[in-house]
Formats: sequence, structure tokens, C-alpha cells
Amino acid sequence: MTEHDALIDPLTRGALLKKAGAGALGLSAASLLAACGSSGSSSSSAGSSNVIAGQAILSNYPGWMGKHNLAAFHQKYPQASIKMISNATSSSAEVVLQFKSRQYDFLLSDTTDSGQAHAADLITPLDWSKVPNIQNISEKFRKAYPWGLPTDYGKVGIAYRPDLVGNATITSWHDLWELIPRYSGQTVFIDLERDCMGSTCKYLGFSSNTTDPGEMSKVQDAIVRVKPDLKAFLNTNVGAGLINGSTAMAMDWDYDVALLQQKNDKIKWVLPDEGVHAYLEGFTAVKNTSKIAVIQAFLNFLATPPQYADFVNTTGTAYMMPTATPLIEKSISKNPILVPTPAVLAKTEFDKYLGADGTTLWSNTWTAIKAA
Amino acid sequence: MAPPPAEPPRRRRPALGGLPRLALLLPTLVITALCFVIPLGLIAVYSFGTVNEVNFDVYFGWTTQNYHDFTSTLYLHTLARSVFLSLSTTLSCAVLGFIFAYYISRQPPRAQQLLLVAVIVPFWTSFIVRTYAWVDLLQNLGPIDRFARALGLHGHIDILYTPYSIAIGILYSYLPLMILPIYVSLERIDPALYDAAADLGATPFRQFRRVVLPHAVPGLIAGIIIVGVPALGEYVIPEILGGGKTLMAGNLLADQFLETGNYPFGSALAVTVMVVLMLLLFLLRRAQPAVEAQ
Amino acid sequence: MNIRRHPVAAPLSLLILLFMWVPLIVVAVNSFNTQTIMAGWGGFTTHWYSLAWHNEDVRTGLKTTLIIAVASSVLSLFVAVTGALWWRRASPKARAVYDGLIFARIILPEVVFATALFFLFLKIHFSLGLTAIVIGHTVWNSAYAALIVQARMAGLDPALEEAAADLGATPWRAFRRVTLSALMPAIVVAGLLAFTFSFDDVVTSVFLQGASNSPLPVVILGMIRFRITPEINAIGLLVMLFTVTVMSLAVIFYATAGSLGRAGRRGSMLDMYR
Repeated sequence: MTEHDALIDPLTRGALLKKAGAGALGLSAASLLAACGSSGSSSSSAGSSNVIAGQAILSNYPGWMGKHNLAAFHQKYPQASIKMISNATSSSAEVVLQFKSRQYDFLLSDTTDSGQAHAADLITPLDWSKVPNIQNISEKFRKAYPWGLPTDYGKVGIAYRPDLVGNATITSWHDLWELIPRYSGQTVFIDLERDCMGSTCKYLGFSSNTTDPGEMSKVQDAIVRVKPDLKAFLNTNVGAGLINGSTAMAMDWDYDVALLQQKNDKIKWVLPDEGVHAYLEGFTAVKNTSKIAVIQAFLNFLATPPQYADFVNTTGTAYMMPTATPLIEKSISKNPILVPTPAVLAKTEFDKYLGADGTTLWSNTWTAIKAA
Repeated sequence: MAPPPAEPPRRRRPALGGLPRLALLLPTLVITALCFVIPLGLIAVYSFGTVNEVNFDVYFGWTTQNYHDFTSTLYLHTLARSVFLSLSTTLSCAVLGFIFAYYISRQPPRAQQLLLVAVIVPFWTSFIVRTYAWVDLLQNLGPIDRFARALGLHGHIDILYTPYSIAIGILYSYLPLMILPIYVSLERIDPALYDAAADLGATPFRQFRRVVLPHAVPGLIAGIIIVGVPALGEYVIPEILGGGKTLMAGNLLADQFLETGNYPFGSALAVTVMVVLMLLLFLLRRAQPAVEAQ
Repeated sequence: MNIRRHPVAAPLSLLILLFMWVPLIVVAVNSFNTQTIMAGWGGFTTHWYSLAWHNEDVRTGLKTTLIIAVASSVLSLFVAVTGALWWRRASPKARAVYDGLIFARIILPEVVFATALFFLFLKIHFSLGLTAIVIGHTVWNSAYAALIVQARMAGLDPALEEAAADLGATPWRAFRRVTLSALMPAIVVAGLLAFTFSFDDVVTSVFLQGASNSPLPVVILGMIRFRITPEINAIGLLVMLFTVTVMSLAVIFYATAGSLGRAGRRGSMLDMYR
């Protein structure tokens, strides 16, 4: 990803982390270096406990960092630095293998993956006394992401063109499900397990982290019922068809819709009444990393309004630090779709790790839906 | 006149100026035995193991559970659909490929090279970029749709994100693979043979059947194998052009390795597919003498 | 009437050629589209080309992919030709095994093979990277090449080479003038095929690249997962133009070296007298 693209389309981060269904060609070999567990990142340690020194290696999504974050950090701590390796990865299997491989010191990882890594005993929890600035991040996010520093999140709601559905008004998942058969072949769902089925859980009034087989069976039925009338399940450019009208309704991420609205203002965003599910991600440290001091210093540094604002302005994501608002670009901070108001957050449920059985249940249900 | 030179003692002639024949086999042995058979063995062993779903460690407990899982109706249905789609696409590919290969083979050598290049060049653009181009082409409100509507079609062509668009995508991607082997077979037909047949009064159809077809058979078989089998395992095209609505065997397989991390189950799937196809090959070889005799 | 005229094959072939080229035209047209999301025509611009041209990842990717493709094609041809030479005098049983191995390499789904090779390399501590990728590509490329070369070899009479030897040609000369030149079309075709496969490969490359530079298809994939923009089309087109140029130069060089003229003609018994 070039910087230039980030400028043109600041809100473009596709659910790359979440491209579970994409045939995931982007499986990075570095992460696979896990299966036989290579030796850990064993360079010289951080020296005396008062000096933050050493280079911590971060596996991150391409371009998912403020333009000046790393340089500014190095300026503040001249003996420390962060090296960022780009991995356009998504599947839980791959991220967990990245933890396992010990090739990196810390990773960008979402709630599900960090949860699983935690269960597999592959992370180093942070010493929060060394990261006091964590207070700047709203509590709801901190609670949902206890393993490291949460950085961003994405809600899945509805985007639609009222002019293409007879000027109907959609306010809930229920409305959407009703309209899909009436406008057959014009609705797009997201082609990712957690996003698609999670939203369906909301439609049916379940938690988007349910592991109840009975509930999942109902989720399966609900999707299979409308599947013949869907246009497609997509994982990139999900809502793009809304611009020229080849798609009338879409299940889509907040930042994606915000971007689409810039191209065609007839597109409307809906935060459905029943609520939404969202992914939540951040930086988590790998177990037995020798650079924990550097990592903690960096995360503490990142959690200050100026640095965090730089991060948000570069990536264009929905953000989680109210105190940073004055420093964030208006196109993001003034956008009701992206601002973390309490009302919005009250309706948002973050993904959790579902445990081995839960993950298998979701996985099998998804396969059954796709095979139908 | 000098007496004729004595016959050299009879022994097996080396294939190429002194090199023992085994030396010729060595490169192939290295590539297949070391880099293919051994990894395959690993897969076979994995298929009898179990995986820890939390940290993805694979344990070897010699279980056949993975194979049992595979026989559930869900997967068999998916496999059947894949086979049908791949088979029909392969046959279409064979017909089109044959026509084009035949046409190329009948051109003067310069034109042949040009046409071959014309077939290959689009494939230096990157497979993914080309496949997404089909999305643009086939979508409603896209060029083909608008063209059809201009010709009087009511509604839309509704091709994208259906099994038909997957078929088009596969046909497109594999056509050169079909054309090339058939061309190679047909190219060695001496043009004099056509003239001879014509002179002997054979009708065009008869010329075709007696001259062209027998030569084309090895190339056709090669083409059908080269196209048909990978088409079965294809998962990228169904995903991009199928809109995620048509689950194919390839998706199922790839998911095990790339998404779920269920290596044992994926390995069991792979082993089953391999065994079935090897059986098919075995049967094909049995039938081949009969085909060639014709 | 002689079937040299082709009332049916000609127009159909034209349509087929069109079918092959239409997506390319779409890619080309869209690469000039101002519309980022390509949901319609937004106006003409060369902005994407300048982006693509200056994209460091793309340049490195192209270089990496070319190295891999050339290395793999050459190796695959070597394996295929030597194997085919062995094959023509092999016993039926040995042939069956050889053919079976070719078949097996083609039918094994690439994702399975790539994973297996990856695990194997790790176990034997063979470092991942360009060499590993080339090896991976060569395993299946050599199978396709072997298939094509063999299809051609099947029609050659080994007695021709022996006859040439009897008539006084050294074994090497006999081989070169008779067998090799007769095989040449197949070799060229197989080489082109192997190059094209390697060039476009994603799955094996992704698994075996280790920490090395990503080959171009992997780079493109990363860009697509982010967002599909005309820059990707521009890259596709630039890459194609580059490859065509390189190939044309190679062909010109080869043709002026003389052998292409001979190989273009059907191998006939007369050749061995030259």
C-alpha cells in the first residue's frame, strides 16, 4: 500500500485481518514458520532496566501505522526502535501460528486471535503500570481487549440506496431480511464467518459470540433462506456496487460505508436497532519476547493523543480515544458513522474467542451455509 | 574394395552418446523422489493424525476419523457439484481448444508462431488481474450486459456470481493449457498426408477422421488431464467469480489448510482425491491400447 | 475438396482469439479510469501508471518473479527432456511408474503440495526463499513440460537417430540433428508454459517465500485484499508489456541464431543430412 493511496482513501482498510473466507492466498510464509517452532527472537536484551533499548519486531498489516509514529518513538527513545514487517494475513490459524513461531515480538491481532493465543499460552501480558496512558482509551475497549493495546475496531452495519428500494427506510436487520427477497439479486453479504453470521445472530437476538448449537442452527437457516436472493458474498469492495446501483443493499463495515458515501451521497448507513457486532484489534506481545520493555514503552507512547491521532489519520479507522478528537481529521471525527459515542457503543458487541468447540461449530455452520 | 567393417559387439546402446541411461533419469528422480514423494508421504501420515485446535499442534494417533468425517453428505454433495462443473467446463475447453489448435497447425510456420504467442501473451498479465477483469465484464450494467440489452434483452444477463461465470472463468484460464498439447500433437502431421488423402478421393470428413484425429489423441488426452484435474481443485476462480455462493471442492480443501488449520482433515481429503484420480489413470492406461489401435 | 480451407475452424478460431483478448482490453481500458472503485467510467487519467511505475514493491516483485520463472523453466525443461529420452527406451513397467509420477504431480492440488513441501523444508532445516520457491515450481512445471515433450516424443522413431549414427554421425550429432530438432517445437511450447505458470503462481510462492522479497503475484494479491483500484490494472499491463518485450528479444535472438528456422519445419529424415 502506498502512502498516496492512504491519502486518497483514508478509510480504506478492508477487513484484511478478517479475510477468512477469501481462499486466503495471502498466507504468509513467515507465519507458517511456526509449525515446527523456530527459535525465538533472541537478540541482545534491553540492557539495564532504566534504559529502553533494543529493536522490537512488529508483524503488522501493511501501512497500519501512523506516518510518524515509529520515527517519533525512536526520537524519544534513541536506543530503541520498532521494525515493522508487513503481513496481509487474516485467518486465525495463521495469526496464532505467527505467535507460535516467535519470529516477532508483537503482532497486530484481534480479539478472537489474541483470545486463542492466550488460551494456547502464547502471549505475554502487559505490565499496565508501564503503560499508564492506556487510560486514554475508552474503558469499553480496554475491557474487551485486555491482552495488549487496542487500536481500532470496525462495526458491521447496513448500507443501502433508498432510491433503489422504493424509498423504503431500513432501521433494523429485520427490515433488511424482509427486503432481500423483494429485491432479489441486489443484496451483498460479507464473505467472512464472524461478520456474516455474527450479524445474523444480532438479527435473531442472539449474542454474536454464541456457542449454542441450537442458536447456530437457526443462524444457518436464516442465511440459507435468503441465500438464493443474495447477489453475492464478498470480502473486498463489498459495497462498491452501491455506487453505480448494481447493488441495492449491503452488509458492510462502517469505514467502508463512510468512504462510499464520498463517492455517492445517496448511500445511507444504518446502525440496526437489534445491535451490531464488531471486530476489535490491537497490539499484543508474544510470549517470552525479550523486548517487552520496548513494546510497553512504544504502546504507552502510542496511547497519547498526538500519536494516536496520527495513527487514526493515516489509517482512517473508527477510533477509540475521545481525547484525541480535536487532533483527528474532520472527515473522520465529524462522521457519525465513525465516532464512538456511548449510544453507538452500547449497541456494539465485540468478537470474542469462542473456544475450540465454539470455533469448530462456527466453522462447520459456515461450511454448511456455503455448501447449500 | 575394402571388406566391410566388423560389426561392433552387440550391447545396449546408450541413449545419448555414451551417457548411461540411468543418468538421464537422475534429474527426474531428484525432483520426484526427494521433492514430491517425500512431502506426499508426510501428507499421508498427517491424514491419520489429529490436530489441537487451539495451538495447531498435530498429533499422530493413527486415527481414521478424518476419513470418516469426509464421507458426510455435505462434503460429498460439494464434491459432486465440483466434478460436474469441472467436467463440463473441461469438455467445452477440449472442443474449443481442439478447433483452435487445429487451425493453428494448418498455418504456415510463421503464422503458427504468431498465433501461439497471441494465445499466451494475455496470460502474462497476472491471473488475478485477468480474473477480476471478468467481474467487470460479466457484471450487470457491465459492457456485455449493456450490449445484450441494446440487442433487446429484457432485464439483465445475471451471469456474474453464478456457476456459469465460474465456468467461463475456468474455461478462460485453462484454454491455453488445452490448446498447446493438442497443437504439439497436430503440428507433426505432414501436410503431404492431407494432399495424399484428398488425392485418394477422401471426403473432408474422412480426411479429418483418418489423418487428424489419430494424431490428436495423445495431445487431447494430455490436455484433458492438464485442464480437468486442476480445474477440480480450483478455488480462486470460484471465489472471485462465484460470489462465494458456490462451494467447490477446491475451496473446501484450501480452507482446511489456510483457514481452519485442520491439517489432518485436509490431508485426508487430499489423499482421497489423489487415490481416486490415480485409479482413474490406471483405468485410462488400461483402455489406451484400445484407443490407440483405432 | 481439400480441408486446407477452413470454413468452420477459421471464424471460430477468430472468436476464440477474441475471447482470450477481451479481458485484457478491459484491464487496459480500466487502467486509465479515474474512478477508483471502477464502478463505471470516470474519465481518463494516467495517474495509476505513474503510481505503478514508482511502486517499489512492484519493481522488486517483478524482478523476483522473473528470476524464479526463468530458473524454474530451464530446470523443468532439463528434467523433462532427460526424462523423455530415458522414457523412450524404458520398459513398459518403468514407463508406467514414470507416467504415474507425472500424473500425480499434476493432480495433487497445489495448496496441499505447497504445505507439504513447506513442512518438509522446515524439518530438514532447508531455508525458505527463492531457491525453495524455484524447487517447488519445478516439481509441477517439470510434470507439465514432460507431458508435452512426451506427446511429441511418442511420434518419433528412435531408429532415425540410430540410422544417423550408422551413417557416420557422432551420437551427439545424431541426437542434436534428429531428435532435438524434432523435439524443438515441444520444448519451446513447454518452456513457454512453464514460464507462464511460474510467473503467475501465488500459492507455492506464498508458502515458500520465507523472508525473501515477495514475487509479483503475491504483491498484487496484497494490494487487492486492501482495495481493488486501477493501479492494479496498470501493474498488470506494464508487466505484460515488459514480458512481451523480453520474450520478443529472446525470440529475435534465437531466430537469428538460425535454429528456429529449422525447428519450425516438421522434423524430417532429410534433416540429419544437414
